[in-house]
Amino acid sequence: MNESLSHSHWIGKFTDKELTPGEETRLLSQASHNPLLRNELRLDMDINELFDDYDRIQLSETIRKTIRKERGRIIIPAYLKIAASVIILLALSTLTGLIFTFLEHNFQPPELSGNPFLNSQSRGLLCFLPGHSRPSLPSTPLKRRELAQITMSNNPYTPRPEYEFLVGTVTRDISLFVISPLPRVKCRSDSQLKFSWKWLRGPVPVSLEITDNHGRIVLNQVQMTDDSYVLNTRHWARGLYYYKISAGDELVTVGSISMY
Amino acid sequence: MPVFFFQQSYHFLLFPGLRGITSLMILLYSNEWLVKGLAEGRESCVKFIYREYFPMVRSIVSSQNGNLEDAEDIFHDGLIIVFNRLKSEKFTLNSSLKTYLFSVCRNLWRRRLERKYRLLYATDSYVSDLEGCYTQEAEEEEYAEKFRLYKKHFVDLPEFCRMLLSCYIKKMSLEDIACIMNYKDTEYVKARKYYCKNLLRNKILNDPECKQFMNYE
Repeated sequence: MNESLSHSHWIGKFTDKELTPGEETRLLSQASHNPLLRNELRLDMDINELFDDYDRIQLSETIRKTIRKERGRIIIPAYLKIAASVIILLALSTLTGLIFTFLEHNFQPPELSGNPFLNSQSRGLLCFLPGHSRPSLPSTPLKRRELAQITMSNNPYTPRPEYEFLVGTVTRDISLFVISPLPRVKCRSDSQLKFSWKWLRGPVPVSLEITDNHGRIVLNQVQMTDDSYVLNTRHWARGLYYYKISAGDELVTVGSISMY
Repeated sequence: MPVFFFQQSYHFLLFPGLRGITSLMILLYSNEWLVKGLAEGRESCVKFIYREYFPMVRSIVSSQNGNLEDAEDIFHDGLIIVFNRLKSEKFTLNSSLKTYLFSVCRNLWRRRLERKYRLLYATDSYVSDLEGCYTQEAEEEEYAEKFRLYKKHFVDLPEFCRMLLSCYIKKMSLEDIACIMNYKDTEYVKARKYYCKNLLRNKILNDPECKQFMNYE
């Protein structure tokens, strides 16, 4: 045991180059007579060389670990994979169909609401699918234009062109300065809207006229001497209205009220 | 999306829409990425290589009287050889990793078979000129096999020996090893190291599988 222990120490020290020259010569002379010692010396050098690269050992460990792990992995048969694929595809297509159906019935973009050609009746690309017929549109452009005008006139939010371009304009007469409301104002249908102004050259009777988008007069207040007026919009229908404020005979400003 | 969709591709023939996903996975695991990952010893790469290329190695081995364990050893040695070559500066990989690994594993298995038959039928009494050619490839293959067998014994060592030798392999200083292993001084660390190496040498010397490498004389 002692001999082998000392041998092992000598071999280790030899490969680690820790022997003195005298000890090294002694060991080599011993090895020249002892083939087993020679074998051990070479094996020790081999071990040192093989285990020199830590990365290689790590890689070897990784490979072994992967092999062990993967050996225990359950391999799913091909027919099960195909079946799973079919089920998942069916589920996905059903889900897509449900989403399309839901969107078709419950969703319409607000910007398309005034356009008769892009309402919920025309289902966009869906109309090309079997079972979806194209909406029956008027046959000639003239008829389609008429239909569009009717549809637009029925819409309470359709702007009125002859007023629309005047919205926000202010007269050159500087006898009255309108403080509120703004030229384009949004207002709830059951709230109050305050109109206020300031006389710049002494009091002048002020008149306020409100029309709907068809040009029908909804309210006409004349000869107001106060510097404000509160409009109660309770029971007013939703839609687009235009107001005109005049000082005496002079039109001061035009604005729009979007009642929602 | 379940992982098993990406493992085999033939059932995508039924659903061409999903083939795009497979293409994406193949793009992710490109040849360059695999080579880089293998050189760095990345586990995900090894896993991918195993899943994709091991069946190929298994078919080489099983077609020539090999079993699953042989295939695993060949796969291990083949990857170690490729790893060693990738680390060498002179080496350039001119083909795909799959092709290269295939040729390495095929040669490895052929040589191993030849050696096995020589041992079985004692035909090593003479060495023909062709068999006597000691090429660099053969040396590398022997090196990889030796490494695997020695490492097997290394793993079988007692826990403290494995830890101690691992510290040596990581080139840690004796003081650090003494501190980690809770030894009193560096001389004791050296003594334990010599003891552990002696243990490892004895294990290797007594292993009949390793006898083939002991032909130093």
